[in-house]
Amino acid sequence: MAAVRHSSSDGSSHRGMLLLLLLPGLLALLTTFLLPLIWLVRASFASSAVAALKGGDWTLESYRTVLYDPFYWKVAWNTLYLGVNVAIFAVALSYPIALFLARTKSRWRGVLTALAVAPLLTSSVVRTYGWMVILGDRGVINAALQSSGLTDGVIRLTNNYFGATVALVEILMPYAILAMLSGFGRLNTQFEEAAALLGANRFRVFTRIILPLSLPGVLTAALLVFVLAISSFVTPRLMGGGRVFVIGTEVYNEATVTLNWPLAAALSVLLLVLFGSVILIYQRAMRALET
Amino acid sequence: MKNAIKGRKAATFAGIVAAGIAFLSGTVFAQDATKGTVNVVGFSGVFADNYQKFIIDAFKAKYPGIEVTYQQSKNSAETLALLTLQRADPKVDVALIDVSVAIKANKEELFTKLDAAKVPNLADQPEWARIDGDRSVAFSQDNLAILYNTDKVKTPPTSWADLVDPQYKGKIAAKLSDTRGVILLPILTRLKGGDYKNSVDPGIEFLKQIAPSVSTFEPAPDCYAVVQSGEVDLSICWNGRAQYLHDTQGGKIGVALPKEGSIGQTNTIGLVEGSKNKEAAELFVNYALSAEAQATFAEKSFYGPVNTKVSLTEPVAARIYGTKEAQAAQSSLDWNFVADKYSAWIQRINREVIAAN
Repeated sequence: MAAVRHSSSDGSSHRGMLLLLLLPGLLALLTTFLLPLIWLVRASFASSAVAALKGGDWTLESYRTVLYDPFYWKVAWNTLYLGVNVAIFAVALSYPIALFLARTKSRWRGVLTALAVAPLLTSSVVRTYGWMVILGDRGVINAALQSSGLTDGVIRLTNNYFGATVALVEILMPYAILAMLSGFGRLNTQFEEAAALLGANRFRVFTRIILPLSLPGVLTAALLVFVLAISSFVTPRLMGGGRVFVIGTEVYNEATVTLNWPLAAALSVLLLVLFGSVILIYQRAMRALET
Repeated sequence: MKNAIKGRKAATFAGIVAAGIAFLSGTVFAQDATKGTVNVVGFSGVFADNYQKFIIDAFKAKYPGIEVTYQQSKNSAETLALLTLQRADPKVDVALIDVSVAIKANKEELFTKLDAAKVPNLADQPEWARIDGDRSVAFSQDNLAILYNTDKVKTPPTSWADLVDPQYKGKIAAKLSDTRGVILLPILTRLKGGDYKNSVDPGIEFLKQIAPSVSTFEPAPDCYAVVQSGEVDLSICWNGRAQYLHDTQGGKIGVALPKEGSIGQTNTIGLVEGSKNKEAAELFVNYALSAEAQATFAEKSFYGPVNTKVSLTEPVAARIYGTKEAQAAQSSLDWNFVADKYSAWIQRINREVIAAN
C-alpha cells in the first residue's frame, strides 16, 4: 500500500516536472505563434485597415468578398495547382537521390547527404535570382538554344507560371530529400534479397517491395513540399513576372498596395484552411497505408 | 554664530530663488518654438538622403535650436501602420506619405488641420495640393516616365503611344498594379480623348495593347535595374530616381518624358494629430512648403515642386517635365477622387490587363 502510494506520488511529481519543463516552450509557442494567429483571425473580421489594428466592429465583409469573387477562387485554384505540380516534380526528382542515399554503403554517404541538402544554406531569394539568370530572356538556356540554332527568338522561360514552377521545384527538393530519408526507415535490403531469391526481377522488386515500403516517406515529402509551395511568396513573385496570382502574392498586394488589411487577413485564413484540409487528407492516407 | 546661520539661510534662499528662476526660464525656453525636436518619418533611400541634405540641414541652419530626426519607412503602408499604432501617444510629429495613403489616414484623423496663421506658406500652395482641409499638403511630385537603355534604344520614345511599338515587344518592364498603374490610367485615358472622372475604360484598353509587349509586370530587383542591366529596353517608372541614376551611373539609363505630359506621384506632408512638438513641427512644415525649400529639392532631386511661387530654370524644368510641349501638358489629379478609386483601378488592371496576359 505504502509502496503504491509512493509510486503514485512519484508519478504525479514526474508529470508536474514534465509540465514545468514544457512551460517555456509552450509560452514561447503561445506568444510567437498562437497570439499572432488569433490577432490575424480577428483582423480578418475588421471593417477597415485601421480597425484591423485597433479592434472595434466585427464584419464578414472580407470573407464575403473572397467567397463571392470568382477571381479569388481562381487564385485559390492557381495556388493548389502550383502546389500539386511542384510537389509531384520535386518528389519525382528527389526520389532516386533519396533512395540512393538511403541504400548506399559508401563511406561518402554522410558527405553526399550533406551535399544534397547543402542548397538550404543559401537563401531561397538568392537561389531565385540564380534561376532568373538561368531562365531569363538573355539567360544561359536561351543563349545556348539560340547559338546552337535550335530557336530563332527568345523563348519565354521565366516571368510566367513555368519559371515559378521550375524554381520552386529546385528550391524545395532538399526538403523532399530530407523528408524521404527520414521516412525510409522501413526499407531493408533483406526484403529485397528475399524477393530476388524467390525469383523476382529487379523491376518487380522495386514495384512490390521498395516502392510500398518507401511510400510513407514519399507522402511525407509530398506534403512538406506542397505546404511550402502553396505558402511561398518570394519565388512566385520574382519568377512569375506578376503573372502568377497565388494566395501569397495576393496577401502581399492587399496588405501593402491597396492597404486592405482585413482582406489580406481573410486570404491568410483561407490559406490556413487549405493547409488544414490537406493535412487531414494526408493523415487519412497515412493511416490507410499503415493498416 | 547667529550671523553665520543667517548667512546660511540667506544663501539657501538665494539658491532656491536661483533654481526657481532657472526652472521657470527653462519652461519658458521649452515653450519657445525655436527650441525642441521634430521627429519626421518619411520615404527611404535616395529621397531620404536628399531630404536630409537639402531640407532638414537647411532648416537646422535657420533654426539652430530645433533638432530634427528622420526615420525611414519602407513604404507608406508601413507609415500608416506606425501612425495608427501610435495614435494614443505619437512619437512622430511630421509624416511624409503618399497622397492616397494620406487620404486614408485623414479618414481616421491621424493628421491635424494646419493653421494658416502658423504655416503662412500654405497660402502659396495651389488648391489641389491642400487636401482634406489642410490636413495633408502636397509638397513634391515625382513624374511617371519612360526609362530606356541608352545602349539599345537609339531613338528615345517621345510619346506614351510608343509603348505599343512592335520593336519593343517583350522588352518592356512595367509594374502596373500599384500607383504607377493608377497614374497611367488617367494619362492614357486622356491620350484617347477621355476623362478619368467619367471612365478609365479607354486607359484600360490602351494598357491591354501594351500588355503583350511587357516582359515582366514585376521587375526585380526594381524598375531601374532591369533597364540598366539591359534585361529590358524600356521601363515605366519614376523620373526623380532615374535622373539620379542617369547622373551617377554613367548614363546607362535614359529618361523620356512623353510629349503628352505626365502626372506625378504626389508626396504630402502632414502634422501628426497629438504631436508633442507642435510648434517646432509647424515651423518645419512651413519651411518644407516654402518656395526656397521646394526649389532646392526640385533642382537636386528632380521632384516637381508644388508651391506656386517656385520658378524653375529651363534645364531643371526639362528634366522634371520634359519638352515645352510636355511641360504645358503636365497635369495633376483630383486625389480624393483617385484615392476612392485606387483599389478598384488596381483590381481592374490585375484582372483585365495582367491576368489576361
